[in-house]
Amino acid sequence: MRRAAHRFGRRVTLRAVLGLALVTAFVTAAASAPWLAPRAPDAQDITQRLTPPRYGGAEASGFVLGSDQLGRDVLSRIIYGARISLSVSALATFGAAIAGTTLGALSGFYGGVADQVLMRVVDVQMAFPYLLLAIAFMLVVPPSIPNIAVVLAISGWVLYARIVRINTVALREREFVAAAYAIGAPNGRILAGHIVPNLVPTITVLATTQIAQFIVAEAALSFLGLGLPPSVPSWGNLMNEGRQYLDSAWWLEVFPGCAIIVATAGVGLLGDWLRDIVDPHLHL
Amino acid sequence: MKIRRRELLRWSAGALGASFGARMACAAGVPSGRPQAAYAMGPRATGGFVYAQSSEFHEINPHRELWSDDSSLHFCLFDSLIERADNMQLIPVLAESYQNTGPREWSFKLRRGVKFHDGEPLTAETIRWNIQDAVRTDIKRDVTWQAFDHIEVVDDYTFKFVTKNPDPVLPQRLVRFFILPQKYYSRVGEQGFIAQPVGTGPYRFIERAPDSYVKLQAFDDYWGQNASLRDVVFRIVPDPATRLSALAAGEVDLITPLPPDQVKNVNANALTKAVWVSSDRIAYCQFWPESPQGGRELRDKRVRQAINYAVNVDNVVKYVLNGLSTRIPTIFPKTTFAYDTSLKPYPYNPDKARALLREAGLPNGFSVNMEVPANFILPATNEVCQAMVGDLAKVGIKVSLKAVELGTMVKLRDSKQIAPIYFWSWGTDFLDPEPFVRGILYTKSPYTFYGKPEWDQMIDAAATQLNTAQRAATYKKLQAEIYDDPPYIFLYAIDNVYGIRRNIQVTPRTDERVIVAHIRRT
Amino acid sequence: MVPLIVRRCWGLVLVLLSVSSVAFVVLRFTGDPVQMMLPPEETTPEQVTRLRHLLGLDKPVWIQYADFLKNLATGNLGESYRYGTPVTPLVLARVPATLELAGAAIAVAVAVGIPLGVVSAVRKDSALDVFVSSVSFLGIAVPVFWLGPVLILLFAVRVHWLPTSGTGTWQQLVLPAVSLGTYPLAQLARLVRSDVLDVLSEDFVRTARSKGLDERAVLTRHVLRKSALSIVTLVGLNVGVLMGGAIITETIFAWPGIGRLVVQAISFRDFPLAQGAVVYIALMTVVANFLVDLSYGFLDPRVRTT
Repeated sequence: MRRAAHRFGRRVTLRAVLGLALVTAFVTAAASAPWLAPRAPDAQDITQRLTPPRYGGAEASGFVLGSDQLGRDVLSRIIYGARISLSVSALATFGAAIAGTTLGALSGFYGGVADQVLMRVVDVQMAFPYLLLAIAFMLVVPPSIPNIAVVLAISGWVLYARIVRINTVALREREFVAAAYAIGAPNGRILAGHIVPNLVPTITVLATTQIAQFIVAEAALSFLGLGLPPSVPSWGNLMNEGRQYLDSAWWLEVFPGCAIIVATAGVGLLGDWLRDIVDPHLHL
Repeated sequence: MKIRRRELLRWSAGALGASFGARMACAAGVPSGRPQAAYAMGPRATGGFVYAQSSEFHEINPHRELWSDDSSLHFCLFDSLIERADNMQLIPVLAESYQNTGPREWSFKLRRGVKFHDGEPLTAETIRWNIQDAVRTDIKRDVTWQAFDHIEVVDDYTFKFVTKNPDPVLPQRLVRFFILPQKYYSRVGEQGFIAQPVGTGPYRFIERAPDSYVKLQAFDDYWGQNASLRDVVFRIVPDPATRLSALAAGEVDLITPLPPDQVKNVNANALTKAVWVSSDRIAYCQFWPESPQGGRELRDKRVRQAINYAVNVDNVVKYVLNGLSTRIPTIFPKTTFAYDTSLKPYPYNPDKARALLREAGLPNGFSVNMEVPANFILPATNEVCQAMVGDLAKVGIKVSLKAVELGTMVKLRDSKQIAPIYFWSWGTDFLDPEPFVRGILYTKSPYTFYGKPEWDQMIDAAATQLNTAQRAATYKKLQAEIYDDPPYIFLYAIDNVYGIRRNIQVTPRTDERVIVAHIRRT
Repeated sequence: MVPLIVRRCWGLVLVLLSVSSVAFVVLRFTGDPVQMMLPPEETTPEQVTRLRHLLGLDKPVWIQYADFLKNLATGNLGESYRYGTPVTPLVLARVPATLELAGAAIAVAVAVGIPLGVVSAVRKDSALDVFVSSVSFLGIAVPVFWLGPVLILLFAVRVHWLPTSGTGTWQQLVLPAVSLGTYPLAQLARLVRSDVLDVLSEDFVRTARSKGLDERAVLTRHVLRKSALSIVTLVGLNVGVLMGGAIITETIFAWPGIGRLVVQAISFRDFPLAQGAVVYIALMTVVANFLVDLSYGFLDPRVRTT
């Protein structure tokens, strides 16, 4: 371990390790939910509502992190919730990245009217607070994981479009591109084969930041009643349902909140580390 | 860094934009002044009374009241001819007395010596103007005066209502028909009235900050008993969790409704306690076998009976609502005229439910969609529905539950796209079956999704029956019929729960209204 | 300069036109205002038809849009369906509250974020640095709707140091400003830390040190200048949220800002009010961004508008 660390030099820091560890933990928990969770997330028993948590795994029948207002196990719901939150944000980020990068790269490379139009569209969208945009859309489409991912992606593609476009414009002038031109490579090839690969590190950094934002954004939509259906154990839903119990059944709000915080922090740490490697001047 | 700054520089604004903005500002006058502090922090000492509201008052003018509840404010500022006392009895208020003087005629004697806040006296002519103002067709919504024909002014303090058809419930229609000052309104107009409302009520309007608070003060020249609390503030606190915190911190004196799950906590707090009364608002799940989302299985009444047997409503009331609701056999609360006490609610019997499903040819159950409004006036709707879903799963009915935003749900219902089962509520302070059945059982009503022509006939017959015994018999027959051929999952009537400061004395009302003038501090 | 301003003006007009049109279109898919306004228990179909006509909703959509554009051109944003009063004063009444909260949040971010950033950069890699970095990092990860209620519970319910909600006194501004300001605070701390590290490693600093100049004076001057830029960047990044997206903070703390107005208007399907509020938010956002740009030009001579 030490020698590997040395090879990376100063690049592997405590932050990196912590970030990686947290992200791995969550992804693993999400993937292995059916085996890891003590109960099914929707197994309800209204005679056992709002029981407080029993830490340190007392009897197997106890609720380790307490039960919610329908007698469902909070721990299980958080574990299954990891699946939902991570898949929504990953899907949304993926969509936003693809859409934004494509549009930004095309726009930056070819310039002209299309470029101007795209930039105006970006300006207009950025004059709209993203939450309002999401609210308006969520009222029109039925709530489901893909739909929410699409809505978040729509609010998020702009970030990539701008940065990719600027970088494309800069890269366009570089020698290796000129060289490719000279040997007669078609535009598409240049774009896809030379320019975009150079942007991947930047895009990755943006993406990790955005995953973290989307985890919180999904929860925000649930706060406003526009997220996933109530029985779905997304972290946002858990927090929204637990809000009125902050003073009486605090475990309903605190534990999912911790999950969001820790997951977001983990992804963010990872993003920081990537950014430090890729481009320390890229402030986000 | 440089690149990004240039990016930010792309934003545009400028003289044209500024003038555009200025134009819009000038177009209607920029309001002045910042709201003053309405109260201090921490537990309130004495004097003022603070009532936390969940949303802004939209219609200061009570004749324009839409689907919102601004009545707490209206009760402070205005009076009506007839009102319901805290025990729901009809009592004359601005009317001194009234009686049914003919098949289509009701005569009223007006109280003398009543003055509006600006000194204008109340006469029968004022009443006539009020009716005419309320039935104008150029406003958003007129009062439901279907049966009303005209009003005859006999002298300054006597007048007659004349109806097109015999109307046994006319006095009830006058409840919450608030009386406005004719001269003042004619002088200041609608906008002026909204900015500074005037009425005959126990409180005077002091000031208002939009979406923040409304301040009132007791009216010294009130014709009736002066209100006990001198200074009243309605505070707008939209978030339910923050309202709870404000109550727990002692910043507000009353919040309503209080979710049943919070009752224990509120009682445990030294500053606060919970009080409640059974109300007339019911919860039910509407069946719609013809829904575009499916549900044809619901055409068979045995299936609908099975669902009523399969849902353990008693448990829901006991555990989810902490006992703060009352089971009802059909859709009429106990206080309704002609409530049939011999009918018992469907017992919890999953075996019977399965048997009925087998009889109906569905031994393996079936799948169906269900919708519930996301943030609703009733407490714990999500939990109630999810508990029901769990119960139905045990007899093989797989319910796919969706929480839909309220406005969207209204849209679905009105465009006839709503799910075959949906959770809704109905409430009225008529204490009479007529508004219930007219609204959700009468086949010509847009909110009825399961009805029958025979039931329509019964509803029409009972509506014009002045003989109470005959009316009661018709309604009892109707109840028995819908019990047997259920258009709904029969659920419960909720309790109105208030969270209050311990030194407040208030009687929660069945009709969910809060009359601040009746509240006192001990 | 003048041609630039003219160009930007067209840009603003285009933005406002597009934003209001998008709002117009999207809102009309969300449902029927008339059905939202009339209580189902007591309404007749005639009332529904009449109300629809009164609000102009029975006209074909493109005529409604044409009317809307015509009114917009004269600065008339119409009348709220719900309140029955003109939209502009309703919206403008909320603007001061929004600006107040935004200003306070930025103030919190600046007052705490800059010192944190400086301290953790100057003492890089020490325990203090790690602690401050973690705290500022958590600030980015903690959602407002978790932080807000927790702050209310701790500072208003458990002890009565601050009020839970509302507006009017400065005490009521504290908790919402802290909740809303935590995210920019954390961002700023990280930005400043990075800036200070940059400054510390630059050649001229070493030169200054070798010349014997007081390190602190050099540091302060350059750090301040870079911080000013970072603050401006920060405002630029958060403009969207501050100018109209602080919905969650406003809802939790009963703060009568413009973000909450939009959400309420949307949930009541009050189209004119929602459209009007959105237009104002866009206007404020664009103006704020313009000010950010100007400050950039002012603070950093390398970047001048071209």
